Amino acid sequence: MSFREKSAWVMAAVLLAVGAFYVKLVTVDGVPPAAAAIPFVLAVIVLSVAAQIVLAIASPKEASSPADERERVAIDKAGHFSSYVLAVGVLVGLGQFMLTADGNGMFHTMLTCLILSQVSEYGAQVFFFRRAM
Amino acid sequence: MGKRTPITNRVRELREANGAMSQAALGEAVGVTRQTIIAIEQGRYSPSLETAFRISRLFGVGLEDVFGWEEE
Repeated sequence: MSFREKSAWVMAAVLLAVGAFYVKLVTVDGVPPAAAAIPFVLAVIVLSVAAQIVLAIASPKEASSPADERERVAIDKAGHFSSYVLAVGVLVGLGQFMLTADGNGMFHTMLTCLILSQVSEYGAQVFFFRRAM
Repeated sequence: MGKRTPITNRVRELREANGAMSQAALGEAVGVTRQTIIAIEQGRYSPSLETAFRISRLFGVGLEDVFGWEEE
């Protein structure tokens, strides 16, 4: 498995784990947006940096090399795919606000869709790294 | 996984004929990862023209001695 595929798996796992934590804070604990989003963002930053450091220590040569031509195509396609997930999330959030006038609800919906779009981007990267292009 | 490209190649054969060069060594020589060399050999990825030329020049053969076209 290439360094970038490992990185995509790890980042997807980090986002899913921290995203689940965020959803729990919002749905179970009823935490307001700022109080839920700040620990979420901090956890994503800290865990992502830690995971990338561990991966770079395990494969220093690959970590310092830029993505090659096949990886760049896969990364671009995955980014394109995830943009649709994000766009749907934005439309759902806007529709939710139009119907309920609930700004907190819109915030949570959009942040959840941002997490989902990132997870879908990493998932699509793994898919395109493996399939024929 | 997935559909093979219509471009065929003799990369594995040429690698083995050139002192059993490893996929990693070939990748490093032409500027791609080992996984990309594996994908090329398995017909899952068609390399750019630049990489195709780099591979053929490395083996000292013409482009069409390495890559071919398989009618679908």
